[in-house]
Amino acid sequence: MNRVSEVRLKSSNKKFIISIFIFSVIFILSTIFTKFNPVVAFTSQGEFWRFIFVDFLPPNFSKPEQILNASLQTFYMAFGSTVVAAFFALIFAFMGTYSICNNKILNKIIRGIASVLRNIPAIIWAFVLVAAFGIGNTVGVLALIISTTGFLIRAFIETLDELAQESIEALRATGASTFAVITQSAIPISLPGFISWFLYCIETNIRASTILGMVGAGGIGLLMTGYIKQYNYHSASAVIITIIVIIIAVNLLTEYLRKILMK
Amino acid sequence: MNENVSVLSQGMYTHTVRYSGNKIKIKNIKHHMPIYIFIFASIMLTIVSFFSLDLDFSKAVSRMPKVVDVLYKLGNLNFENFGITIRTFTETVTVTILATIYGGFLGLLVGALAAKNITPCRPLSLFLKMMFSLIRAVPTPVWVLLILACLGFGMSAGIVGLVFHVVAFFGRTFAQSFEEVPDGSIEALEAVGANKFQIFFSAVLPSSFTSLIAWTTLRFEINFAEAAILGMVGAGGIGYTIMAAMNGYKYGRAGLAVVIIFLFSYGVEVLVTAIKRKVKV
Amino acid sequence: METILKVEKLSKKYNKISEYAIKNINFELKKGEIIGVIGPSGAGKSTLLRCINRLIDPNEGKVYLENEEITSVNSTKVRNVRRRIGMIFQHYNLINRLSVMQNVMHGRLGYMNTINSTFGIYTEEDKRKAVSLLEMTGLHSFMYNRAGDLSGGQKQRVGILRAIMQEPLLLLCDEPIASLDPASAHIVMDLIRKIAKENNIACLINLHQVDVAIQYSDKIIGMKNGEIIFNDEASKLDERTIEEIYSKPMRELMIGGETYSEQSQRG
Repeated sequence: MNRVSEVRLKSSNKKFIISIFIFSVIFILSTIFTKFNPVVAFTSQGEFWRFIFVDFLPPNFSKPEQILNASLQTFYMAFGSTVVAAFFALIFAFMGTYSICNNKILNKIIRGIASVLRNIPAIIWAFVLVAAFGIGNTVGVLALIISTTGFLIRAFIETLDELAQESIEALRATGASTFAVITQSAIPISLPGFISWFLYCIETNIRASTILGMVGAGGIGLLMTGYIKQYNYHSASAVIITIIVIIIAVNLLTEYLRKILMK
Repeated sequence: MNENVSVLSQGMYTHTVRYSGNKIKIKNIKHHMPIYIFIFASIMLTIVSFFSLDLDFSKAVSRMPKVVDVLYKLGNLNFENFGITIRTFTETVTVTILATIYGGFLGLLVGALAAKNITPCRPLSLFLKMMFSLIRAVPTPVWVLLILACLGFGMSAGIVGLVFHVVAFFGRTFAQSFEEVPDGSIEALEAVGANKFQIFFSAVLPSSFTSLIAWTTLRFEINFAEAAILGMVGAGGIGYTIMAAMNGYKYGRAGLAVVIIFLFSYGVEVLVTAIKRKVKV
Repeated sequence: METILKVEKLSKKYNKISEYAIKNINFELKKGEIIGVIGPSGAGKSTLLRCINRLIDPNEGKVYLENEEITSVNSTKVRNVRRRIGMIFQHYNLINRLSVMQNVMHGRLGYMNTINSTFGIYTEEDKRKAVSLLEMTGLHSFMYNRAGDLSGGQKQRVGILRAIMQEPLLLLCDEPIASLDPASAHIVMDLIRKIAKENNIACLINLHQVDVAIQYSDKIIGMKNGEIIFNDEASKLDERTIEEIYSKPMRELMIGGETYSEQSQRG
């Protein structure tokens, strides 16, 4: 083995050792701070099962209309918000792509705003909005629209950057106007990608919508929290089971839609 | 819609041109029907949704000034009790770190068992994949609430509660990455007589390594957002700080906490993009 | 024959610290003339092409199309310039999900007003022209197929038709046959030459294959490190110049599938 390859081996070994070291330090510090003992966690699971079988089951489905109504609300919240968010995100995504809107400053501003909207969890938006609007569906819808728009702007921009650049270049070369470039190349090429992200957000928002309900934004989450606060665990478990069914159903639906729409 | 023989400008005949009335068609609508239907249905459903939700837009508009007011107060960052804010923030971060680490290792194990190409038992693979969907269908705060019952309030409950989703996520995505390893690599090692463990560590793991790292960093970001929220359901952390501050109308402190959350989340995003660039090249 | 394109002292640097991508480029292109541009990767061939139709903006120098200067034209007028210049690409750059017919029609977008171009409302006359072009190249049976379903050679021909629909003065070809098998490559190059000569459209073609360049071009431009080091008739391209362009001796160059010396030995 000659000198050069020896040196190369040593430097990649070094990087590996350093990363392991950093990793271990972080792990140890975190464990000390949280005093987390996985063994204890594992051995106390008896209490967990007791809770499930005695307090939670059997589930109480005596008021199905209430659950159904709340489920629909949650679904509407999630779906409606995602569609509105996708609409706005599309417009902003085009403004954020250099090949379509060649204003670098505007591109950066849009990406920056999207970053802020996206890196603050929806629930925090919900909390802020509850302070202003009070509890209710409106808050949930707005919080979801805000965070989803932020996410989709970045997702759509990525899709455009990855898939559409060459076709956009070709249409620019023919002298087409910017609107024509958008409708005749950028959108047709990116549509499968856009729809994929859209469906992903529908799934995510159904879950998020449930969680938002827990802080007062309406829907099935609110119903569940209400029952828990009343110590009505049997009804709460009925709600939880419904949530599980809804999420799995939406999951299957989006799988199916992906198969049909993606070509 | 009729297919005609058409006479074109240079006297050529073609049977392939289709017309709509007397206009030449430029595309075959059938190719795009599913998407048109989907978009139309989505718009209809959205309109139905918003009407059914009984949203009070007049109230929303009339309350706009209040929103501005709240935002302004949030922006008025208040460093009072900063020590507590930092403490709760550290709680959230360490919960995220440990949940990702433990979840990661467990995820490797179940992911390997769930991957079609390396599982010792086919039905086990299918069963595990179903379990992953099931576990993820229960919202994380619900898991945490259940764990609170046996571990009590605190960071440990948060870690264990998060781990459920993390393991289910890694289980599915790692299995996906393992399944993408080319059959040839695995067959080559089988031919030499390696056993399952050796195949896993010598072929499958190295091949899927970059993919695994990508999933891990993605999940780390998601875990932080989830951990921040958990405070609002009692597992401690910066979510609790925000909730307490806002309930006490101390918007300045809440605003500061939000800014910290954003900075950390954004910082991680930047770091991850930089790492991805280095690992890919 | 009149000069249709004149390039004067064209230079482009991508950022302040790097080298020039192209430096001090000067040449002329006459109506109906085919010029093949050869040179190693990174020599600046793609940059040169894109500076002509302003997909990339040069730092210095001027470009004249039909004696009008197009380098300092503003962004609205740039479209009017671009529609007179057709371009075809190594990866065809078609819209795969749309039909072949739609892709060909895209060539007219530069001549349509905003509303019509945004919604893809073309005139019947334009559509008839597209159909006859498709017939001429034997692609009319694929008219309504998705462009993505076609083979590489067919896609490139669709790309050429799209460019022709612009009724261009000049055709820029960026490595048109780099991704094609030998048979398709032959069909595509023949089509380009036929269109150029029959309609008096000038062509600037980037090529990796020196033998193809010699066979189809009237003149050859050899580029190296961003500069032109050869600009003359194709017949005057000799071995030494080729070696200088590629910085490699002939025996290490694959010209036409066998090394040049083997080829010339066969006679």
